Amino acid sequence: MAFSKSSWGSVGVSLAIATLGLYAVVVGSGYRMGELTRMGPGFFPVIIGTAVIVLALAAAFESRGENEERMALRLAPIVWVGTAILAWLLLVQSLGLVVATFALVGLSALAKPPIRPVSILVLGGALSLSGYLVFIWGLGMPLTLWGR
Amino acid sequence: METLANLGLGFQAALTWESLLFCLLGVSLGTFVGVLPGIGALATISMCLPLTFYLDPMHGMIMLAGIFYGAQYGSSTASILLNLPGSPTAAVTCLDGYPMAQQGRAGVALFITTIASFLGGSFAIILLVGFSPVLADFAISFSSADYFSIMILALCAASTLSTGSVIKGLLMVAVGLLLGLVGTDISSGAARFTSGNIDLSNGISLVALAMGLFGVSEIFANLCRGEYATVDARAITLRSMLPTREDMRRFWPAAWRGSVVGSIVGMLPGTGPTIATFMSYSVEKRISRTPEIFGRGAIEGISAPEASNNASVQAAFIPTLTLGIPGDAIMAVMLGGMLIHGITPGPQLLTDEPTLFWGIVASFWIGNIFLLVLNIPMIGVWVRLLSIPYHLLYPAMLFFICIGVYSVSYSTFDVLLTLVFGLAGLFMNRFGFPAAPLLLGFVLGPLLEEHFRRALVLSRGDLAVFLERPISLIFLAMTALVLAGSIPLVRAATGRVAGLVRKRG
Amino acid sequence: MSYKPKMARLMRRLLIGTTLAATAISLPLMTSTVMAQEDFPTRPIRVIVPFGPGGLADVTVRLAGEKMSEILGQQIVVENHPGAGGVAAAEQLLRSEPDGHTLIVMSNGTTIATSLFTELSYDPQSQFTPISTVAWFDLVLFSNPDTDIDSVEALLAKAEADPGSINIGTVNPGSSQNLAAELFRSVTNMEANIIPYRTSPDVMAALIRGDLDIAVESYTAFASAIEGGQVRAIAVTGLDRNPALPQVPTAAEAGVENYDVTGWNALYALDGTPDAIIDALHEAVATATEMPEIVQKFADLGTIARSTTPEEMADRFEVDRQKWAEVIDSAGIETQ
Repeated sequence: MAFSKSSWGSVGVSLAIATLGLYAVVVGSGYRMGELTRMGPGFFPVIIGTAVIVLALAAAFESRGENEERMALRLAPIVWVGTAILAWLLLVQSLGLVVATFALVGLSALAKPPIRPVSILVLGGALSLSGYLVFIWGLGMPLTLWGR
Repeated sequence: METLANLGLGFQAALTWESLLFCLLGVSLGTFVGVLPGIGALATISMCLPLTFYLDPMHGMIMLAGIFYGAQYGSSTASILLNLPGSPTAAVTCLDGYPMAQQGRAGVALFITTIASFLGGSFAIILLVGFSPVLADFAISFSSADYFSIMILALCAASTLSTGSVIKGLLMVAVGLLLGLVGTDISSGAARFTSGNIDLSNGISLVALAMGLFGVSEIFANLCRGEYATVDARAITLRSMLPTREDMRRFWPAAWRGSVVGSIVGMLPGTGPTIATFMSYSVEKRISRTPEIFGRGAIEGISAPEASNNASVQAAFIPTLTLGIPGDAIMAVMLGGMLIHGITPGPQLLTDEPTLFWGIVASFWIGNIFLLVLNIPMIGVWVRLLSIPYHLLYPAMLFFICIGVYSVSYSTFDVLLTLVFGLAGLFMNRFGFPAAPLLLGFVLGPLLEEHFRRALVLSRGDLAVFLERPISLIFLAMTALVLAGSIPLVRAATGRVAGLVRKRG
Repeated sequence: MSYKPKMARLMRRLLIGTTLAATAISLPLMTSTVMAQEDFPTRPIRVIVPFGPGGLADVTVRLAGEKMSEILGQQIVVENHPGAGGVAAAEQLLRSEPDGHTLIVMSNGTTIATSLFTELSYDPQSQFTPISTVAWFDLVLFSNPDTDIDSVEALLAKAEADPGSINIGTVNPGSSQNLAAELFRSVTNMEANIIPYRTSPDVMAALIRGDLDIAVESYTAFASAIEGGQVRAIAVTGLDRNPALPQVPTAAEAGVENYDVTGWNALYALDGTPDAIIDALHEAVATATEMPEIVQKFADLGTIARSTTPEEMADRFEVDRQKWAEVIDSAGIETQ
């Protein structure tokens, strides 16, 4: 899914950010505003949110005519690396560092074929060991090798 | 003269075998944790603090301080080689250091940053020796209104940091400010934008944000491109690591300017080092005759911020040692360490414990020499890291990012955030929205709000306070100059080269 | 210059250092090899501290822990798990067994957290069981020595003469310091601005700079400025004078009625821990806090080493919880 030479991406990101600003203004105005002498927690978010909206619209306007070659985005690497990170964070506390690390290495390897089983095994082992030595043994981090 | 005699006393104390040993231990440990993502100087110092209970107070302080500035040397390494900034200041080094590494000039970049760090550190130490009490008074004279104005200046200057449009830069600053507001409001205790999520009540994790926007997004980008320039191990020669004469010609003035900015701004408790580093980068870009090469491997772009960063790290000791007012969490832990040993830092420390005071100061300089000696031979080793095939390198980077982010507060939620910011960073990167201004906005956001609100409480709601205080007025005037001067200028400059250079991307 | 004793001392320190480090490090390995045994303790005891290292509450626990490990014959390993409301620390304890080998530090701050966080994921009063307090600490009202506010009387007079002119600085809303200031303002009916700062050093700098008239902080946080004569202590918040500031009157002595803010930190175990083990631990704390060395070290830090029975502790918790809930409510501090 390669994007072509057009400006819709840049405009789209700007508009997405404008929405974020709008969200901040809406949620922020739900907090107490207070007065200038003693501002409430809502004052600043509303100001900043408004600034975000204005700047985002300006950025969208500015980049409407943009016509530049951009790096192509590919779905597969993004999905596999994302899954790898998700797997690590979901597994590391329940099944322990080793399983989580092998899952991370294995899944992320799918992002860049060809698959090399031997290097996955060696890398997973090496990283588990260094993670254990530095973080668990060295820094006393409350993680286990094989889960609780 | 008395200062010199005292300094002699300090060196006498710092040159004993024990002092040297603990100094070496500290700086080595610091460099090591500086290279790792996540684990920063703060965590390491906190963990080593109890061990120093068993040491002589001076040795304990020498070791802890060594960890602190050693980590600054180390963090530039990961930024340059892998685009993994461990701290907001290191993110500035990423801007030009990482492009240099991609161009096969990682060795040069590491060499330059090492000398720049040494230079900046040494410069600030000289200030520390000569003018501590005066400077400390200056640092403490900053009231909330002044802080607000210097932060406004830093944020506006940061928007011109990147290669693209100023509007996008300002937008990213504003988004950063917004992200910085997530969490518990310091002035009222209200939880904002947390959706009831207790993981967010302390705010978004800085390490997760930095690792996501820089590290993970770069891995995504490299995999999407499908190509990654691996360095050929045989091509790493001593010669390829040494800067050229042209490099050095551009290095010196930048490093000096960085040292000055870092020493002065770095002293300010709280925000000093971060502001100083971003500011010295924008100063370089502003005065450069070739601002278009910034962000693509400009020597000035790594020399000045690195010098500034290390100068500010040393300068941060000025208010801590002479007034007992620590600038940041790291300084606070070290202060706690001194109190446990029965030493109370403050104006009387200089007269009550001259050996201790000057011994620590002397050890800083010795530590900087250790770092220089340790780091130069290490460059060859580090650069070889880049000769690892990418299919092995990126899973390893992902692993260290995950475990590093996790190690900050043992939270898997933070790891999830890292992924989210990695995806956001990919899109931002692709469409020309710069990440560095966002990071500065994020770091300064809560402080900006806090000082703005407090300045108005103190002035009973009178906005004129920002113009009435001279320090504040000067910074606001500088901000106006930056904004007025930069927008057409930067536009003209980027307009001309944008088409030309972007074709690479 | 003789190097021999120096080297010997160095070696000893390194040895102590590495042994300690090794014990701390190998602890997670041992946790899996537990089996209940007759005697207690059978392995190192983890003490979970809900705040970062270096603070007063942390340091006092570490100092007492060192003595307790001598008494109990097992290493006490202090782990810091800072985080909002003490949730991260509580989770650590809740994940362990009720066998007395994992303990948690509760403090005055916990009694505040129960009101500040409406949906706290743990209940310290039902899920944990008290062992003993370790240290008691009061707070101090400081003024800038360049002003004429040299006593509580002078402060109240100034507030009376020029209502709303007084600025009182503390760390974040909902902190012990902040609530102590709120309580002071309400019992004295004084008009004043209470201005929150991020850290104690920020408060100190603001007081020295002259932005603030009064700061409420612990003795330790301002120790350097007290010695340097940059701040002046005008009253302490407890019922007794502070051992480090014997010349400074208590708020009550200065004429403020119904005012007592005394913080504490205490060791708690998981509910369901056998009574015999609680007793053994309580005994160890009581012995440690009576050692002259500990008493002296605590006094240097401006705190008092004193143990309580588990029952006294439970009562104190409830009393403080109610007191702070009222202050939070009347001061209008936002809960989350």
